[in-house]
This record gives sequence, C-alpha cells and structure tokens, in this order.
Amino acid sequence: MKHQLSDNLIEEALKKHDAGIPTGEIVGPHDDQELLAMFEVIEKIENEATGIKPEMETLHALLKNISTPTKNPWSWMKIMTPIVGIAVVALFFIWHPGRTVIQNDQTAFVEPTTLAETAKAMETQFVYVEPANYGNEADISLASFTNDQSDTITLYDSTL
Amino acid sequence: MEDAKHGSQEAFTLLYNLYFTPVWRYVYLRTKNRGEADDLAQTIFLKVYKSLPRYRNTDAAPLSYFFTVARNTIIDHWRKKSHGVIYSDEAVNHASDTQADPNDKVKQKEDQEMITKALGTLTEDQEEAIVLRFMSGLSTKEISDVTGKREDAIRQLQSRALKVLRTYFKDNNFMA
Repeated sequence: MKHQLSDNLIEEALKKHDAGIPTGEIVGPHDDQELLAMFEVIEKIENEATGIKPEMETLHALLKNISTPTKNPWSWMKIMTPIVGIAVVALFFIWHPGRTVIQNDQTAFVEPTTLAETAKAMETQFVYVEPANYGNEADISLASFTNDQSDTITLYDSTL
Repeated sequence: MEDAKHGSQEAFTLLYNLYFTPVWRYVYLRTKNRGEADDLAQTIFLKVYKSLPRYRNTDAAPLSYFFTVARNTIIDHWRKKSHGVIYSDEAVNHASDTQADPNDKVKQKEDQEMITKALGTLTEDQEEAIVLRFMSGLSTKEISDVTGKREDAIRQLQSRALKVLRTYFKDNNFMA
C-alpha cells in the first residue's frame, strides 16, 4: 500500500506513540507500510542519538565551577572604586603628616613640629602655611620651606 | 529538584547525571560543534544551578526547565555570534569516537552523517521538534512547554519533518 500519509494520520500515530502505545499496535490495525516506514525513521533517529553523547568528566569541571563560582570582577569594581577613591582622598586630607584642616582658601594648617615630615611625605619643597606659631612673623600668609633631609626647617616669607 | 534548590549538591549531581546527556545532545545537534556544545551545556547547568533558588515547582517537568534554559542559552549564543545554525561535518566526525570496533565505528559514522544531513534539510522549527522529541527524548507536552508552541503544532512539525526525512532516507537508499 503505497501512498503519501496524511498529516493527521501521522499526528494521531505520534499521539499514541507519546502515550506509550507500542509501534506494533499503532501500525498493526492500519497495516500501513508507509506508517511503519515512518516509525522506522523514528527508530533510526533514536538509535543514532544514543551514539551521540558527551564526555561525562565535564561534571567534575562543573562542580568545581559551582564550588568556586566565577565572579565578575567588574561588578565588584563598579561598587568599590568610588568608595575606595573617596576614602583615599579623605584619608589623605585627614591624615597626611602635619595636616588637619583644609580651609576654604585652600591654605593648609601645618603644625610646626611636623613640617619636616610633611615635606618628606609630600615630596615637595613648598608648603602653604598659616601665620600662626611662627614667632613674630604673624603676617606671613604664604611661606615656603626647604627640606634638606634634616630637622632644620627654613621658612621664607613669600612677601620678601 | 526541591533538594537541589535547598542546596543539596548530591541532588544536583543526580539531576546532572539524568539530564546532561539529553541536554548536551540537543545543544550539540543545534550547534553542530562539540566544543561549543561542551561549553554551552556547562553554561546551561551553571545557569540552572544559580537560578535554583528562584525555581518554582510548576506543572512543567524539571526536564522542561533545563531545556528552556538550554534553548534560551543557544539563542543567546547565536545572537552573540550573529549567525544561525552552522552545519559542519564536526557532528559526524566526533559522533562515534567511543565505538570500539572500527567497522562499527565506520558504519555508525556513516549513519550519523546521513541523519545529520537529513536533519539539515528540515526547517529550524522542524529540526528542533525532531531533535527534542527523538534525540533528547522529551514528550510533546514537554516540547510544548519548552518552545511555547501548542502540542498540536508540535505534532504537525514532527509529522511534516518525518515525511521529509522519510523521503530523504528513501532517496538516499538509507531505508526501504
């Protein structure tokens, strides 16, 4: 019996196949060679599928990945970068040697006893200081000093 | 699935052993590349593992959940690569590596080559319906859950695909 099977007939057969009815029972009543051939196609595909399989050792790699999940470093960086940046800037202004306050005019108050350390830490020869605690030079508003790697600090009145 | 959801690695290993091969086979036959299939299958299982806390037990079988993730992962993969399915001979070249007997190996290689080429003659939807049903072993209901298509539509796809395959096999003397 040679004919082109209708979609409906195949779909009905597939429905029965889905329900677990054996192929013999599905094809038998129809005695339809084309329908039988259809199931041969299915059988061939199913048989070949069994030969297509992965290497199962990937389980080990997978479980390893699960136990140490890959983290996206960028997500961490996105959060931490501004926090760390702000903290570093804040700590610099708060804790760098000799510094306690930055005023609105950006003039730094430097404790006289820490001028040498300040110079070393800032790797600079010029520090802006307020005119406090420098003997009689009360009107010094801008002074610089040299750091000669000793404790001797020479102040210069910038107005001279 | 519930045990795995609550952190049991043994339960997840069991799921892995049950589902990895059908999922991998599906990915492999869709990508036609063993390396990509290995990577994607691992990605799929990692995705499932990470999404387990959000998993809700529904009418759909756990297998459908794995295949839904697999399907979306493949689609994402193709989108990233900006191309559709690549039909290469790799699926055939590696398919029977584990066969011991060289004659069997050659025969199986030929058969798988024929199947792979035949699948290549189907539309993408037809191929997916056939691979999921007969190569990964999902029921029509499960395929419906995974693809979002009605069961009738799935059977129609399978029916038409089988007709195409039947003709192809017959024309190539693969079967009577």
